Amino acid sequence: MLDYLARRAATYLLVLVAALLINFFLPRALPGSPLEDLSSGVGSLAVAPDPATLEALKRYYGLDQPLPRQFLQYLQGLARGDLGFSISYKAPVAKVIWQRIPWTLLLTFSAALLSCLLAVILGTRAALGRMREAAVLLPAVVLDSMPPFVLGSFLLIFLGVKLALFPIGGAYTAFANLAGWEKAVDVLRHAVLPVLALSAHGFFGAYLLVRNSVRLVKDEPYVLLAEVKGLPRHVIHYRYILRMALLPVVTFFSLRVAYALGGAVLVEVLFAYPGLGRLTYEAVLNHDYPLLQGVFFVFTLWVLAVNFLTDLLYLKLDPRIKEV
Amino acid sequence: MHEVRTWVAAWQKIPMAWAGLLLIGLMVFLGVWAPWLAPYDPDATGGPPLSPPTAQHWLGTNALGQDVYSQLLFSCRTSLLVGLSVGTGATLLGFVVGAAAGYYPRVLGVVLMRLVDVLMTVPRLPLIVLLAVFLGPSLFNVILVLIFLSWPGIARTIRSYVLSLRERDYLKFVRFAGGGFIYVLRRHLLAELLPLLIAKVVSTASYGIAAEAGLSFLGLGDPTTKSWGMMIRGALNYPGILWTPAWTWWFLPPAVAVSLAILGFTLTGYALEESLTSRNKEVDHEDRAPHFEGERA
Repeated sequence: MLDYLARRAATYLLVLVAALLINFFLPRALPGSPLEDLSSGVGSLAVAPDPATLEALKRYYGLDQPLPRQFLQYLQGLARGDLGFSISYKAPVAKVIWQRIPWTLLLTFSAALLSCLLAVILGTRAALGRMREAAVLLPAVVLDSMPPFVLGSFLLIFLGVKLALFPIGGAYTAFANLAGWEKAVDVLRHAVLPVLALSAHGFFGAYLLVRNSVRLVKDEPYVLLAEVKGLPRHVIHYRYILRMALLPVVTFFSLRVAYALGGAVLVEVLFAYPGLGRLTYEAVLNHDYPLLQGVFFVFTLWVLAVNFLTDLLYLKLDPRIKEV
Repeated sequence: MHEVRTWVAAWQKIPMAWAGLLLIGLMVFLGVWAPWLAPYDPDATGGPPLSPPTAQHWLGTNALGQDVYSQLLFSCRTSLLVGLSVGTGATLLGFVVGAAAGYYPRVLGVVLMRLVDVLMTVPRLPLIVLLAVFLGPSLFNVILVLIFLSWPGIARTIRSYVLSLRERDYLKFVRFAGGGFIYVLRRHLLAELLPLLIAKVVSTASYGIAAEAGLSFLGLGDPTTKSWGMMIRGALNYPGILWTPAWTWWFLPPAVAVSLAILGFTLTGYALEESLTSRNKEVDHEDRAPHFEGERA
């Protein structure tokens, strides 16, 4: 068991190193520079700072140092929890990211929960022959084929604009100064459309997983024994079959939570939702190196943490792994 | 050859496969003949702006007076190109790497699989976005980035197949007779795994089409090539479009087209993989029957 965990941990460490290297070197190789932005203004008001000022700014941000030295400073900063200073937001990167995290967590957790819950209910019914599968399969395949941002646009048009059931952008009503219960309802109403767009996409995979997993488990000898013992059907279904069949779903759920974080980029851009995905997009547009580095570092840490937690959880749920 | 025939027979029983093939066929036809089918240059701005569908402009025009129908056809060409290149490229790369890892499991295999683990753990879309920006907006770069990020999963599947295949008697015999890796790869592994590889090309193509549309939607695609994602971006960014009827001919066609294209590849890929598992069941069944392993060679 320790061997298994050690192997996983070694992979995660490698990923972290790879991500740090990518994080650091890729944004620096991007065309353009954050300082170029200073010399462009609006129309005739364009101002070009003199070379001395640019030099001073370069020195101030440490951009005049050789790359290995910048990298060392970057690592030292990370160790102190300092992710740098965002050039476009004029605020510490850690603070900018911190404000965005809850919104993305709200979206990804709700979407993963919704798609897995539906998949467990429908997948189990289909595998146990208590439901015609065709009724689920075709809509699920069609919904799965729509990229989340396309499905999101349809939801936005029909539910948001035509029927005006839900707000079409943002995470809360600006300047409304709502509090308590009203504020919670407002936030939830804003989350409905993005969550629907995200969850439809994960559903089909989860459904197939549950269905196949239940199909495999229901023919196991121990299920037959339970039937022979004359246990009631719901006990066999939920306590015997589902418990074993849900093991892969645990992994699936955490993978959704881990990777939906990145997948939310398009949906967050579409709905102008102030999460990490939209922040990534803004950072790329603004050539904001420190912010990009910070966002990617958080993305990677998040993926690794969820993966590792899943490994631990899996050990707890499936004691058979311990013997390997 | 016999195996391929049973595989085709099994596949024909799945009605979804026909719907999928039909969609792919339609897409190939429209994509290949786009320059001849399109009534206008997709970049020409001659028409009346935001015109609803008319006899001159079958699907109307966008805000710049460009013909939506012509843009739709040329975008189909782009999606087809990206989908098939990404599907084929990633599958070939995944096949060679996976086969090498399965054929030399001790050192090379361990190193390659570590690389696969790392690439599969890194969050994908943010990395695609970053690489697309870094490499600059060109269709070729988009294809390269998508291939780079889609091969690892394929390599892992291929490796597990090759690990078991190499223990078959006939392959042991080929090795004993002096057949090297490249020879075995070309003559035996390719033939054994062809159905699986085709399924991977199709399912990866559907991923490629979706990813390209997403990148263009973010404005990170090739600005000189027409693309459904870019059309959607243009339509949705036009102020107030959703409160006028214009979205029905500017936004709707590319949105439906990209969904149908992905649906076509997904259905076909799903049917292929279902038929593979049913084929494997038959093979398993055969394996249980008493016969000499060597017979198969």
